[in-house]
Amino acid sequence: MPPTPRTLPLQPRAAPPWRLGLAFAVAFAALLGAPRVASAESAHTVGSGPSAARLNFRVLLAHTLFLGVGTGATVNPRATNGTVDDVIFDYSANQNAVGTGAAPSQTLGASVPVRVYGNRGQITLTVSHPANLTSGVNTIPFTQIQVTSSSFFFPAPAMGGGPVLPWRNFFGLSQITDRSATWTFTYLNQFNVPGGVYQGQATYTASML
Amino acid sequence: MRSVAFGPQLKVASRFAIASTAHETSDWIHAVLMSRQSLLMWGAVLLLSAAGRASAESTLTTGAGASAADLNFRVVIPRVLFMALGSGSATNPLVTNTTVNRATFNYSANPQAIGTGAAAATMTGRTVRARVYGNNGQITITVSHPANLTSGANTIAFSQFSVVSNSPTNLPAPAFGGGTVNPVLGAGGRITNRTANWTYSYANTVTPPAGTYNGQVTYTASMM
Repeated sequence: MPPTPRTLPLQPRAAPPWRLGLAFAVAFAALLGAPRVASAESAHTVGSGPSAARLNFRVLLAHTLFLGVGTGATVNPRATNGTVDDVIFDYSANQNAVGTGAAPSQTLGASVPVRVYGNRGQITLTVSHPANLTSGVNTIPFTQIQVTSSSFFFPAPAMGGGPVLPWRNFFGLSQITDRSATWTFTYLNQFNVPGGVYQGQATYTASML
Repeated sequence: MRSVAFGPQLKVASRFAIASTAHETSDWIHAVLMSRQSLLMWGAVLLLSAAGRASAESTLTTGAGASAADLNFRVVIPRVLFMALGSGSATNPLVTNTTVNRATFNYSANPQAIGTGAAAATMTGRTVRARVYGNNGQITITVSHPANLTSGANTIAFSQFSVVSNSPTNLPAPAFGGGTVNPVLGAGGRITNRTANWTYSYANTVTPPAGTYNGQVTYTASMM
């Protein structure tokens, strides 16, 4: 049986310039991506006497900043998570409580796990949101939603309020911040508002030097 | 007189090949590493290793840049309509109350005034607190009743009764005999929350046989 034609021969061949450039780029990228780079030397001693060789170590740690609110906060290792959680205050079963300050009979997702991590000094955390939750043309001010944190070291920024500064580790002395907490949201329910499903989204932003 | 509260039920891309020999395997590796098509793949790998991804529920950022996470909020407010007269109007928060109040006009102490248009010597419960609340637009209140109060076979026409409100603009009282009123809406045009005192009078222009005459009226609030 005749040999099977080979479309990709193994013999050495002269690579075109673009392939050499690509190979160099890949090698360079691999060098940058390696977390540990070591270089060693050797020494050859004839007769008596010690022989020494040195080895250099280097660890490259990128600046890292992580913020998770809700499901994403519980992912380990830390990773980007695209799921946006919902906090729901539902007065359908206690409609007489609307506008009285009383809590809804049904609250879903109001206790939210949060985590912030950074390795380059103080982190600043802010929240941004539209002025109102909306249901068609009807509105509820976002400031009707309040939040408390389970951790003194990781406070929650208030709706309509200023930034907060999570405590760095070791009582604020470390360059590392790694804080977790549970933020609990409540609805003040101070307004008589038309019936409807009022919705809005808040965005928490962490920044670091 | 009764109160009624109710709220209707609202509500990764790969291209696959199978190599049959070791040579073919190494060829495939060579091809993947060096082919033009791999340029895009390696470009994507290098891009993903770079810093900075944006807004999600959790974000891991390497290098410079902020990290953001979103959270959705929802408040569900059902349609609410509440109408109360008498005891039920005093409840807070709004709640259904089945007590029916009574307005009494008693001429036992001044029987000589019967049929004269004079007021009864003893009148109880004739000033009644009314409250209406709704959150879905204009409310209409109607009144319904039988033609007469009755005492056995004897009757007094309901038209002998009249009612006035101390808040005639915001919460007027519907007149006996089929009256309809529209309480004034609050700012925004969707919320109604009005209270008033409705005071009832007996005209006493007829001379019916002695007896205790009873009758009941029903006030009904409706909303879009």
